[in-house]
Amino acid sequence: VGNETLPAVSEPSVDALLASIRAGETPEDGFRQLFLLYHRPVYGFFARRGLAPEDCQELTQETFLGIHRGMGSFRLGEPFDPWLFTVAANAYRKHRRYLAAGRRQGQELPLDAPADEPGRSAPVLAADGGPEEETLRRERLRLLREAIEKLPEQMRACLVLRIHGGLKYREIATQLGRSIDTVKTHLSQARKRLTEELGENLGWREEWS
Amino acid sequence: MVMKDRAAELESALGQWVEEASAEAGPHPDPADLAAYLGGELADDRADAVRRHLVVCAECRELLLEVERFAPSPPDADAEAAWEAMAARLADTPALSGAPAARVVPFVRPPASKPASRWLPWAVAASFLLVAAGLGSWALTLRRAVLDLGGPQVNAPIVDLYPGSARRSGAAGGGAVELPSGVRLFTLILNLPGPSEHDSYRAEIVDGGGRVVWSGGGLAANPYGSLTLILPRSLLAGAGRGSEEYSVRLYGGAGDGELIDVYSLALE
Repeated sequence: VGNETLPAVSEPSVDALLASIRAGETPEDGFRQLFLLYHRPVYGFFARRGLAPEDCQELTQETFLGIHRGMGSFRLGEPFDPWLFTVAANAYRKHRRYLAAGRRQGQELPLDAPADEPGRSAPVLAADGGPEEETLRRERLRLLREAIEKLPEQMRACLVLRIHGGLKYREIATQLGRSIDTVKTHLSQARKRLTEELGENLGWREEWS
Repeated sequence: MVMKDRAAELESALGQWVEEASAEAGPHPDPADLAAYLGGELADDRADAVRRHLVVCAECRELLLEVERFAPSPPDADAEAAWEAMAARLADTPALSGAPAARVVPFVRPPASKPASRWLPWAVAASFLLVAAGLGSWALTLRRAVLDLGGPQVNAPIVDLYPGSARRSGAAGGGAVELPSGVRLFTLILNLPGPSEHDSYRAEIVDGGGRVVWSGGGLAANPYGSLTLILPRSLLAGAGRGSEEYSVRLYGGAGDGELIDVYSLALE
């Protein structure tokens, strides 16, 4: 349909290519074809993680070296793409650990911990009212936390991903392995339960209409 | 204004919940588990663990979305240029920079001082006799089979065998190998249990009754630690006539060699 992102190579031909490599038929040329077919997604994976071009190139090579080393144990007929993803993701995590170790050992540790480091605090609301308002606010938060804990796991998961994670219904469905309709139902029920749980005490009913 | 405050309170409460749950969520799942989770191939308990982790870990959520982006893509100029650097690194790795002989697919080596197969030389000799006797149809059939055996057989069904197990490309569940009726050849890959330790290997295919239905020697392992055989389907009488069990015995070393491993092969 004119979409350039559509794969131009069907899986069977990748399977045939892998079988050819595994069988030892001109493995160098076969591996070159494999590299050319998958260079863009692998390089793009690292580029999307914000790495510098030289790091992307290095990690792309590391990924394909890993594929090359593991080719002997790869089971023909198994899907190749997830394996390639696994090798690339492991290379990325190794790179991250390497960078983290360098930060710990070096003198350039930033005063502000990065967002993904432990110790990050959840957002705390500013208390712009007086002491009474602050007390009421803390009480509402406590009851809210209790109500969240009482929610069934799947409802809570949908709520967390929707409100805290900012995900769309479709994205939540992908992450949780559920249908979009299921996600919508869970969210609707979660809101209803929270309203019922908190509405009489804290006047939440109108918040959820 | 009140509504905005309440929404902020909910977000704050959920943030606190996520922070506390993160401490109990354990380490990041292995990327292989993420891929299997997305493909619906993870066992229920492990899938539940991954799901719980995803709820509290934005990094893994982003990683999960990457799985489906790993699909073949039309090569571009960047890929061609990157290959040059890649090729230089690969040249330093032993598997691809080995002796040229190691890159040749071993099928059945041509008989030198001794026959490579018990049956093949007789079959060839018989074919000449049959030609001499004017049985052209027999000769043509055999010639076609020999040509098939000599040509590339990438599309032949691939039976990828590991010690003690049997798998075929695309087979659900593994174990049973289906050879469609139109198939005359199939590719058998025997994966060694460890690094190759012998220059030469010998394989035997034994049926359920203990009868050796095929034997071939002079086989060499490829750089990936496996041996590849391309065989006519007709060797396996059970193909197309119900399920039948075979075992493949692999011997290494000179003469009869030592038994390396036994592979199971079930045909349907």
